[in-house]
Amino acid sequence: MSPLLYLAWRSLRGRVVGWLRLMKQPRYLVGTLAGATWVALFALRPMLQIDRDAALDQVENLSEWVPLLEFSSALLLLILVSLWWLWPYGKALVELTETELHLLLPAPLRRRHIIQYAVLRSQWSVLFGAAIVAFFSSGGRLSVFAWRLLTTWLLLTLWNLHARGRGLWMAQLSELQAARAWRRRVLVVGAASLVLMMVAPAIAALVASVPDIQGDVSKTLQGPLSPDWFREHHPALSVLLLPFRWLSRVVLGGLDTELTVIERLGLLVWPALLVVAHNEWVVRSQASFEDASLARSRRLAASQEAGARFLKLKQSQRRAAPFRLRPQGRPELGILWKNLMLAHRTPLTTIGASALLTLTAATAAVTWVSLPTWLIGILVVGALMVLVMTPLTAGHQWRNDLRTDLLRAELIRTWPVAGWRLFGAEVAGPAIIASLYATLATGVLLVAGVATRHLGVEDVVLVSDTAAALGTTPLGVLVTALLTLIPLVATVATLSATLQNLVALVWPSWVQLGRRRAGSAAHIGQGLITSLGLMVAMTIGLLPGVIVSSTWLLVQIQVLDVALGAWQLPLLGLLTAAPLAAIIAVLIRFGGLLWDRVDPSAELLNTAIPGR
Amino acid sequence: MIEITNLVKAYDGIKGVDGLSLRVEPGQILGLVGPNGAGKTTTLRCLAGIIPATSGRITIAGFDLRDRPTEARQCLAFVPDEPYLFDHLTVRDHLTLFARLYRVDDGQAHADTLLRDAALTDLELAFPTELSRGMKQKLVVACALLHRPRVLVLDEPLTGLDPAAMRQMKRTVRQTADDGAAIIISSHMLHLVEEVCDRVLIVSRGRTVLEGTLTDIRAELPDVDADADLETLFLRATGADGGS
Repeated sequence: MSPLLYLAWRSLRGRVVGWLRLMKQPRYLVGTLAGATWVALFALRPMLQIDRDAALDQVENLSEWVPLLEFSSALLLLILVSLWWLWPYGKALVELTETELHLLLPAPLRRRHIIQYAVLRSQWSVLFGAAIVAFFSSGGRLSVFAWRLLTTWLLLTLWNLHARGRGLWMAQLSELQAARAWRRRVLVVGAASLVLMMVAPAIAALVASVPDIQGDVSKTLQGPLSPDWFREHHPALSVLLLPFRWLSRVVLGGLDTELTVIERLGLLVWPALLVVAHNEWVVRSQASFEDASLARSRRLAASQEAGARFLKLKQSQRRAAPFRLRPQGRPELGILWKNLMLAHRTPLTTIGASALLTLTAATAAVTWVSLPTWLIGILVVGALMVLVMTPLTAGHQWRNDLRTDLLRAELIRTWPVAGWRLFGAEVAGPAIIASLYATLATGVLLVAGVATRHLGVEDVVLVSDTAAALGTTPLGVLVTALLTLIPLVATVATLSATLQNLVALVWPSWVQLGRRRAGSAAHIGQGLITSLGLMVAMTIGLLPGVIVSSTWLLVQIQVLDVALGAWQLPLLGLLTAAPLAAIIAVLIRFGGLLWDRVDPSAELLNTAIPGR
Repeated sequence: MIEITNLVKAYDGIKGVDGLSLRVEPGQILGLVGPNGAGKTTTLRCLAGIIPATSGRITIAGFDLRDRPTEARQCLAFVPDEPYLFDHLTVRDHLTLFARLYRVDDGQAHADTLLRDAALTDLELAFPTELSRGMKQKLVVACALLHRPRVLVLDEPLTGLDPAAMRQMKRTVRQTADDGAAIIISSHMLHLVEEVCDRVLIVSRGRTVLEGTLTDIRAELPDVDADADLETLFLRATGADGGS
């Protein structure tokens, strides 16, 4: 095991050293300090200021539910695991990178040690998940945090090991003779079915007792959901439930205020033994994991490549492009053309025409056919959500910008395009797509508006009083409100994309580059901090526009005593968007400056520092 | 024309390239050779404007790379050691994009010629993931040559190519130089450098060791045969022959 332990240790050390090296650069140090301060101010403070007495009371109130929760959780776990085993197929996944597979498999290492190494590697994500759960459920108390961390880690590790063990065991079946493998499959499915059949009467008893619940709910439910009741009525099931009760007890132990420290530690013994047993089951597996692991690592690598999904395109689709790109004209339009193709190759004219036709048809349809109010409600809520969320999350949703192009820094850095123009073209990709979605949502809102008009329930979407005050019809209000929103939505989407691209340029090592968003624990944490920072930046960016428009309204209505007309709404929209557009322009210039000055050697090109 | 004067590129205070100077006239091909870690790729990346130089001056076709980067890049084409392509663009899309980026008026017609020369005509709707490494390399070179660059920089251009493609590549490089381009080729394939290049620059530890034609270099080194090949000269110049 020692070479693999050495590898694991050096990998960890390499990560820490890499992180410390990044901290030597002021921008990463400042970013880290800003992130840490943010977490301390906005996440930890409310927890630290929690009313401890009230929290204690809450826990005490819950303690009478502990036996019930404990038993029902154990039952639920048993059901989940049984259901899982009902599907008698699985893959022998031992998560190793392609490099690790190619270097470790030919090496004179015992296979159990290689599997153990893979299990240890997966502990990063397990520990991170446990820390997140503990952080948000500990109420700012260190002792509770430590307990939650330990117990959640135990549970997640066990789940992780069980999944691996199951996968390896199932995969091994495919290596056996067909008849033998079939017999084992039947055996497993039979056992899982038997367990579920044993659980069914207990569930039936619980359901039957529900109508009788009166007074103390927890005590009533504790009848059919208690160990004694199970022992008496289902002795076999009671034995089966035992390991699951060890787990649920250790997780819910934090709620039982009467337990001493020793008693709590005692709760950990059986789950810990389960982990050890599971670990042995996994590492001693004789299943051939090599092919499945290699296939997985290749699949993962392929999924990171943006082109993987395009391979299925037909020849005619491969000829399609968002718009025709001629050799003449500004080069940055070429960059936008390329980036739009990363999202979709359908021509923009086709998209626009299809959307217009669909919306026109839908509008015509809703004037003839009455839509039920609930459907209009769904349309309105859905469209509003898209309208509000799409521009705000434009930078998060689409990555057809620098975050993909930085992976090809060696190619794009040579292009004869001024830095700010290139940066602007990169930002335009996600901004345009987000704006298209938002425009489509406004169209859906219009259709919903027409539908309500036809139903005569205009107040659902169209406010008649407001329309009268603005000197127009309710539908007129809707149309002008939507015209007001479109420039705002477009600028907010552009700001979101601009900020994300700036983050990618300033802290490329912290941003997940490429198509895949999900990343390591570090990436998730950094993404969280980045998102919070972006929210502040977006608020600050919107502030000047809001101040300008509010001042306009105040002067017109309060000082000049002139009523607001519907025609003014789009103008106000433009007025709010204008300062934001100016901020974006400055940020794009700044982004261009950064692009011109950035040295991608270490963070993007992985240039080795000469070792002399 | 390429002119590099006293180029320095330092990482954390350690110099990867240390005061390197060179000059390549139009129509000339310079071979850049050196042991691993000598600073060849770093030099080429600085020259292509991919990474900023710590100090020194780089001029491409008369344009200072620092003061007029866009104009300098307009005259330059860089072929990196790895064929970087966009996975979501077809072969034809790449050429369309490069025609726009470099404003090549006859982009379509020239692209057709380059595709034919690279034997990629039948693959114009293929994505890079459907191409072999050699084909990708050919596509990168086609993209690089599309705007008829006045300066061509190639980093290990023959990697992954089959013998026929290697021959085609050598012809293309020679033809591009004959058309008036200044070319730098960095390669460990010394026979290629010897065959194609007019002059050779041997670098080690970021510094120039020797520069000139093979005859010049032979003359600079004591105790070498009059017909010594570049491999012998390289090993002697860099001290990698153990002093024999």
